[in-house]
This record gives sequence, structure tokens and C-alpha cells, in this order.
Amino acid sequence: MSSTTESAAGHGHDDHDHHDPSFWQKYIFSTDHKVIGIQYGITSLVFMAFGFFLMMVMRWSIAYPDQPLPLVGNWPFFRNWIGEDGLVTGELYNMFGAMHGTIMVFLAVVPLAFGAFGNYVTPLQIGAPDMAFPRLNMVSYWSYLFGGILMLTSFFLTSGAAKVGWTNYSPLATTTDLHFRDKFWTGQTQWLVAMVFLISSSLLGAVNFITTIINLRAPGMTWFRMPFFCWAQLVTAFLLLLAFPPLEVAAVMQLMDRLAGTSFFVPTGLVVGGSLFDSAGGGSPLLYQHLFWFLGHPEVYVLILPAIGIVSEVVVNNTRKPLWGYRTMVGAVMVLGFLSFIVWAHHMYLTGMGTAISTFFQTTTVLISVPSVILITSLLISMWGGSIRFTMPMLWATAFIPMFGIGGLTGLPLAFNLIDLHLHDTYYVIGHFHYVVAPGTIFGLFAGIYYWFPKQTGRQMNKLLGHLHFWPSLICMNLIFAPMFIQGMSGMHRRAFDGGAAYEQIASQVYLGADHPLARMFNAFFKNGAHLPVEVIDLNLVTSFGAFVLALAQIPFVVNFFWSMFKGGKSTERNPWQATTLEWACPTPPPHGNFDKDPVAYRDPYEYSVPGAESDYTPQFEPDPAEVTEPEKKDAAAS
Amino acid sequence: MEIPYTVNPRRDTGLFNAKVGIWLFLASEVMLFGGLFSAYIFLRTGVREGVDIPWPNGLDVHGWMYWIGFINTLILIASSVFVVMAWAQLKLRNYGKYQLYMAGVLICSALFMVNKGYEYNSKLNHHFGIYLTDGTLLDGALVKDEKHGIKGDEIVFQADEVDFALVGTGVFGKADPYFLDFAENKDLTYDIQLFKAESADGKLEFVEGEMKSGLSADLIPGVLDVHIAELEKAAAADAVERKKALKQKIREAEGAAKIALQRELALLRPIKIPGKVVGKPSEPANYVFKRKEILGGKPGKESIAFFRGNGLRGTLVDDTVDIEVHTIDLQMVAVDTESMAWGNDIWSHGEGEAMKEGYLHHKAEAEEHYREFIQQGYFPADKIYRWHHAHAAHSKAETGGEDSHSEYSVVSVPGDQVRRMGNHGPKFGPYYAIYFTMTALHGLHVVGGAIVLGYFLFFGRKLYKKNPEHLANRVEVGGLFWHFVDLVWIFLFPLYYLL
Repeated sequence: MSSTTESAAGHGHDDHDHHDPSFWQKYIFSTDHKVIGIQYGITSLVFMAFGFFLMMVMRWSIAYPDQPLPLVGNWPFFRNWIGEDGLVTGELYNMFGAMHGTIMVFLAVVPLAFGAFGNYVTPLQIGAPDMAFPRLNMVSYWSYLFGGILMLTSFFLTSGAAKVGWTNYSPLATTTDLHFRDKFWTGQTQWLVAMVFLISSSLLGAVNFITTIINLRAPGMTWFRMPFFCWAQLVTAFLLLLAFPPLEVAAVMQLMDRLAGTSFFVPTGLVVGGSLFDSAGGGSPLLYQHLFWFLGHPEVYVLILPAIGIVSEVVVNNTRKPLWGYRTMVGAVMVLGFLSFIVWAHHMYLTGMGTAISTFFQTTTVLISVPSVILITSLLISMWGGSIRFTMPMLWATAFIPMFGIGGLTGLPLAFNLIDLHLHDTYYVIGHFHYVVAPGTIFGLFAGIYYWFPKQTGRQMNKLLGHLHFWPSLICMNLIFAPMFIQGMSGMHRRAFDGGAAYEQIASQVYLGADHPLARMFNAFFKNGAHLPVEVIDLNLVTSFGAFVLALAQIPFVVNFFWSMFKGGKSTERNPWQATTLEWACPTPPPHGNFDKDPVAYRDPYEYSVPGAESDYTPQFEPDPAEVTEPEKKDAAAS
Repeated sequence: MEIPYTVNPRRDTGLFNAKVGIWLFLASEVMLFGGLFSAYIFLRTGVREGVDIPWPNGLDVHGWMYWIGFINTLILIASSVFVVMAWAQLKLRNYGKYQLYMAGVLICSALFMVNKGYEYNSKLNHHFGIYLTDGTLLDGALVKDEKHGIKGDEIVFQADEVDFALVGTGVFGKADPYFLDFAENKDLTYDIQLFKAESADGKLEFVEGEMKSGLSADLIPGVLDVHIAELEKAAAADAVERKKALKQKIREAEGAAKIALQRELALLRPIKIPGKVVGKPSEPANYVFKRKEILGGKPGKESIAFFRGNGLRGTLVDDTVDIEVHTIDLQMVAVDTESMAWGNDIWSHGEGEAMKEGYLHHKAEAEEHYREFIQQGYFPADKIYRWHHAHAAHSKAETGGEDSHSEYSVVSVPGDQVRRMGNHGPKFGPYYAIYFTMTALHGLHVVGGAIVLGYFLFFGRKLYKKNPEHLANRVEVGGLFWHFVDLVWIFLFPLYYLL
């Protein structure tokens, strides 16, 4: 290579920061953590809407199994999968069920909580100019987007998308759709390929986050001056970093099983469709479940911790009091992170892995409720006696606490081996984890959107539309998920695509045959023919009604989001919420490089209502000459 | 604001950003390979005797080729040393020597991959094994089937009728009668008979439709696509009719009969394409293909089912598998003296009985020699019969007592005596599956590392001139990764080559 071209290329690179970046560099292939955060945010919200749509189709099928799918039933896509009479088929339901779970967990909530809020807020809160590896950050986003698009394109394959549940258990997942000659372009295989991209994206993100928090904290920003949100993100990143690789292993192995004909998860003598499955055998379906849940359980905390972080920020800002038990909460979140690695097999009580193992995991599972309760209690005590400002973010944060509480407490019975035998795979479980994730995490995320929106855009979100969004959402979430507990305890199974109707009709005959005299007795005794009382099945209507109204309740949010972005009330001052953390020190909206003067943290993160102070908040970035200690001066000078 | 600590370490952590990053990345890599090693232990210790295929001993699998693994270990260790030297030379600001050492690293990684390729090639293309229906494993190498001029594991089927799938395959859902490519004679033309189905009293009857004659193979997909579109329209109308009829019946029925009908309605699925397409080749023709093309892997005597409804009808000409045997493995056989391997008819020399005697002799010898190992269950030597014994027995019988080392014995196993077969690829057994998965994943890491280090070697000068410390940092970080890759191999080698 000639030296002239080298130096020319080098020159171009050096001047990179001084040129005005083009539209593509600035908004599409950006390395700025804020732009990437917004990219993550918008993409994941779109995925979330799509996942919600899949769920509504499923809810229709559950509530009205004998009525054709309205409105969308005639779309070309549905015509391939739906019965000629317009009813949702079991196959479509399975496909949508699997993809609803996958999309909501891996493409919507984690990217929104970790990718969007983590990217946008964390560097600002610790006073960093950007993430430690900006280009890696960009690769992480594009890998996520590519994986997501791959996941969605699988809907249009001849085989349809993956359809064996978001957990993708082998050997069902291994043997499904193997009658296609081109096994690569089947939904099941594409699910695995897409997962490899999503996992890689999360791993890159996690490395980046931890490095940023360890190495890029501003002068004076000691570990215990870090806002709780950053702690939550740090622990989340560690969970992703260490829990995702085993799932990648599982995905690679299942991919090998499907494409190369290996038998990692295929036991000897597996019979599929009445004939012996062609494989060497010797594999273990249990191994897949271990690998999956080794990720799967920490993943739950990946979903919830960023939300708790956001809620702490919002609560503390709106109660105008310091966060109660900040250090205890930091300790609790770390214990939570550690414990979450040794509870995974409580998802597997029914696999017959042995009572000793069950007992161990039962114990650790009960233990993990301790740090969770510490977190929630600290938030409650933080509110105690405060003069609470019920701003929009605070409404969501306040609702988060009891909703997450219900989700958490209903999890306790599931921790116990014996009770889980009855509740496993019923609607009770669905109700439990949706209380944690939907009105829990997603409410927390809405709190975050309303809270940081002014910093991002320089405009406030509309309050009336906000209330129109919040109250119906709160009511509908409970309409949807509360009945599920009753249904689950009555024994309704989560995978019945017609909401238990067919089960109700045929349950007795499955065991006894339609004409068996015992069956007639059975039918006479249980008026509905099966164990499900008709009232329980009718609760499906309540749930589905709630789901459809919840969809309508999101319209005010979408309108509010875009309307406020361009026409909302201006709020260009740096600190509209009168908060104390560092992100409010930078200009609104923050420019590339974030801060216009070097940020320094002079005090603890939540110094609200300090006795003797002029105002009820004393920001971290406000120097108080009397209180600046020597080492901090040195740090400030060193930077 | 510039991002700090890209080159110089932060004071309180003592690390520059990339170093924190690489250690974290390595932590996740540890979890990745940790998961795989756990899977290895889980699967290997979970083998149920007499039910699952036993895991072979690594030394048995690789034979003399474990030396390749050993040499690869040395190569990687050498490359790890080189990468440290390259970094040290950068720190000393000797760019020339840095290049030299870094080139050494790249050469080592290339050598490693070449060795790996050789090893893979031998397993994928030269070693072949057959599990007979009683569990006997005949292990050796595939030979050519002289009679039909095909590979030993290929099937010859003479078809006078072919069935076409009426569901699209492939990404875009178009009809794809791929199996026509298996015909020996590529110039065949086909007469194609289209059928439509009509339902009478809920039952389907096929009615002859259009006839197209003299089509060459590449014209057929178009004809099928048109037919599928027509049938789909008819199917939609038909399903609505059938449902309507069923609902009418439900209204009239009572009691248990009503419930049964309701159940039928609930389970009723529209038959998407009631119709079929049958083709006749212009002359009865031979089709040659491998077993993996067959749905379920088993050829029928009079018909072959390919994927999604494609198929052939006619007569099976040849489905024997021809291999030369290096080893007879009897671990999966209930009674070793009753194994099908001792049948006289499958051996080209017809000396099954003599081989059985050889085996018993060998077994007695092995039991004597390895008694302690066998008693402790470590070593299945008594149940594995290696070729030189087989051969010795065979040649003894032939030459009247004199041992000679000519060629392996060849068997021709009829298709219906084969349970499973294949080369020593990932499909052959759990050992091979995880061996290929882990070593290939490790190989990908080697290639990835080599690409990054190669980038530092070939495109590093610019950065070196600007900030030599920055390049040294990068090499340090790349070197840490390289050491990790080396370390993984240190674990892989004993696990897969020696144990």
C-alpha cells in the first residue's frame, strides 16, 4: 500500500469528530450512545406492539373459539394459516404463542429496559462522554435488529414461524418441521439462528455496559455515589454476560440437532409420528432444559432490575426524600443477582430430576424472595412521610410497586415443589409472571419514558393524554391477569388454544370413551363434562375484553409520544424535575459528548431536603466549596 | 469530549477500557465453553448401558491421528508464546520483530487449521460405520459398488411412476420436484396426469383431470404451480361445505353421538389440497440417491417416499451397503456370539464362522491382557474386534494357517439389515456430535482470533506511528483472547483424544 493513501485515510479518520456527520452517520449508523438508545427504544416499542398484536389474536381464539377472527382474518398472511371458516387454528395459536413470548422477552422488554434506558441514561448518570466502546455499541444494536428481522421473516416461510413455545423445548423443537427438505429455512431453525444474533447482541452490550461503569465514571463518582439505576444496570449486565452463553450453547446444539442430525437432546428410542426417529440417540432433553433455564431464570431479573432502577429514580425524585436504605438496596440487588444463578431448576420440578435437587432449588428460590422484598420495602419506606408529587412518571412508579408485589408474592407458592406440581403450566403461572413483567416491568418502563422524555426532546409529555393512558392501563392489566389466578388454580392449562372448550367437551371421553357408561355418569355428575366449571371458562371473556381495551388504552400514549415530541410544552431548562443526579447537568437535549463542562460528582446521589439547604434538592453536580474534600479536588484537577 | 482511558489506564482501576472489556468477554466465553464442557460430562456420564450407544474411547476413535491433536497442542502453545513476544517487542518499540513474531502466530494458526482439516476430512470422507439391526457395529470405509457403479451407500431404484408433492417447498413456496435430478438419464421426459378430488358424502374421490405428455424435467414445476393454485380454490369451497354438513348433523344428533360429532368438528381440518399428480417417465428409469433423501431413511421394496409427498413407485434394485470392515464392535449386541456379523453370506470371503472363532480367541486374549481394566468397566476391549484379528482369522482359514497382511475384508450388507449408518460425522453418535461441535466452535475462535491479529499485523503500522502504546494495548488484548483459545484446546485435547 502506498504511503499517500494511508496518510489520506488516516487524515480522514482523525478529522471524524470535527466534520458535521451526515444524516446516515448521525441517525442511522450512529455510535452516539443516546442515538443508539433511542434506536433501541423505538425498535423495541414497535416489537412490543407487534407482540401485543399476536397476543390479541390468541386472546380472541381463547375467548371466542367458535367465532371467526374479526378484522384481520382476511389478511393474506392469515389466510395461509386460518381455517376456511375463519377460526384460529391450533397451529396458528402455537406459532403466535411461541413468537409472543420470544418477541416480548428478547425483542421488546430486554432491549427497551437494558438497550434503550441503559444506553441513554447510564453514561449520563455516571458523567461519561459516551459508552466505552461506541462502535461495539452500534454493532450490538444492528445485531439485535438483524436477529429481530430474521425472527419476523420466519412468519413468511412455508413452515411458518417457530411454534413450540418460547422455551423451545427439545425434543419437540428438534423434530418439528423436519419434514421439510430445506431444514434451514424452517421457522424452528430460524428461531435458533435469530437467537444466536440476539444473544451476541446482548453479550456485546453487557461487556460495554460493565466496562463503561467500571472505567468511565466521572471524577468524584465513587461506587456509592452512583445512582441506584446504574447499580441495577450493572447487575443486569452481569446477568446477561454470564447467563446468556449457556443458552447460546443450547441454541448451537439444537441447531446441530436439526441441521447436522446430531442427537444432543434426542433420547434413544424416540418415537415421532408413530415411527422411530432417525438418530443415534443417547441425548438428553433434560440437558436442554438445564441450559435453557440457566439463562431463563436470570433473564427474569434482567427484565425486572432495570425497571426497579427506573422506579427508584422516579420515586426518590417525587417524594423529595433520600432513597431509604440506598446501601442496603445495592447489597440486595447484588445478592439477588448472585442468587438468580442458582434457582433455575424451579422451572423443572415436573421433569423428575429428583427430590434432593428439587429441595435445593426450592430453598434457594425461597431465599431469593428476601432481597426482592428488601428492594420493594425500601421503595415503600422511601415514600413514607414524603410530600409526594403525583407527576406522570410517579403515577406509573407508584402503580409498579403493588403490581410487582402481587407478581412476586404469587410466585412464592410456585417455589414449592409440591404446590408447583398442581400449578405447573396452568394459567396461574401465566398470571404470576405477567404480573411481574407486564404491569410490573412495563409500568416501570413507562415511568422511565415519561421521566426522561423532557431531557431527550426538550418538551414535556401531555398530562391529560398521560392520564388517559395510565388509568385504563392500570385497570385493564388487572382485568387481564387477576382472573388467571382463579383459572389456574382450577386447573386450566396454558396451552389450550380454544380456552378449554374442547377439553371441557372431551376430557371424560379421552379417558373412558364417549359411550362408556362411566363417562355418562361422569358427565351427569360434573355438569360441564370436565373439571373446569363454566364460570372459570367464562373468565376468558373478561380477560380478553381487558386485553382489547388495553390495546385501545395505548393509543393515547402513541399520540402523546409523537405529538409531544414536536408540539409538547417546552421544557428547555436542564433540570425540569429538580432532580439530583448527573444526567440533569447536561444541556437539553444532550449534544454529542454529553456535557458542556466536565462533570464532577460532589456528593451522594439523592440529597433531597437536606436540612439547612436553600432548596429541597442539592444536585450531585453542585459544588459546595465547604464540603469539597481534598481527594475530590485532586480528581477534578486530574481530569 | 473524548472517551478517556482508551490508551492509558485509569488510576483507580489500573486498567484501560479494552482490557476491562476483554476480561469480561472472556468471562462470557468461559460460560460458553463451560456450558459445552458441562454438556459433555452430562451426556457422557448419563449413558445407560445396553440402551444408549456407548461412547468410544478417544484413542480408539483417532487411532494414530491423536498425534495430530498433540501436535496441534504444541502449535497453539508455540503461538501463545509468539503472541507474548510480539507484544513485548511492541513495548520495546521494535516494529520489525513484532511483525516477525506476529507472522509466527498466524502461521501457527494456519497450521492448526490445516491439521484440523485433515482430521475432519478423514472422519467425514473415509471412515464409515454400519449398525446392523441387532446392534453390531461394522466400522471401516465405504467402497464402490462395482455392480452398479455407485457409491457403497447409494440406493438404486427403478421407477415406472413418480408422485409429485402438491405443497411448495423451498423459501418461496414454489413447487420443487427436486427428486427428478436423481434420475440417471437426464433426458427423460414425463407424462403427467393431474387429479382433482371431489367429495361425496364426506369422502374424497380422485377424478382424472388434464393430461400433459412429453414434459422435460424443467417444465414440470410450472405445471404443478398452476395445478396447486386451482386446487386451493376448490379446497376452500369444499371445506366450507363439509363443515356446513357437519354442523347440520350436530343440530340433528343427540347425546353421545352429538358430542362425538362436536369433537369431529373441533378436530376437523380443511384438507388443503385435495388432489394429486402422478407422472410416468418415458421409459422405466433408474434413480440413484442417498438414504438421507428418503423420508424416515428407509427405502420400501416397491415405493420410495421423499419429503412432503414426493415419491417413486417401481422396484428396488439395490440397497446394499458395501464397506470394508476394520473393526467389529459388539458392545450393543445382547449375546456377542449370536451377532449378525458371523453370518457367512455377507462377507465377500464367506468365512463368518471362522471369524467368530477368531473373535473368541481375541476376546480371551484381551480378557487375559486387560483383566483389571475390564473388571472395572473402563475398557470394552473384549467386545471390540479389530481388523488385524479379523483378517488374520480369515487369511488363516484361506491359506491354511499362515498370517498375511493384505487387504481388509469387504461386506455387502442388505438394506433391511441396516439400522443406522453413516460416516464418522456429527450424526454418527453423541461422541462425534459433541466432538465436532466443540472443536468446530474452537476452530472458529482460532480463525476469528487470527483475523483480528492479522489485522494488527497488516494494518497496524499507521496506528503504530501515531501511538505505539495503543497498538501494544490492542495486541495485548488480542493476545489475552489468544491465550484463552489456547487454554480451551488444552482441555479439549485430553477430553477428545485421550479419554
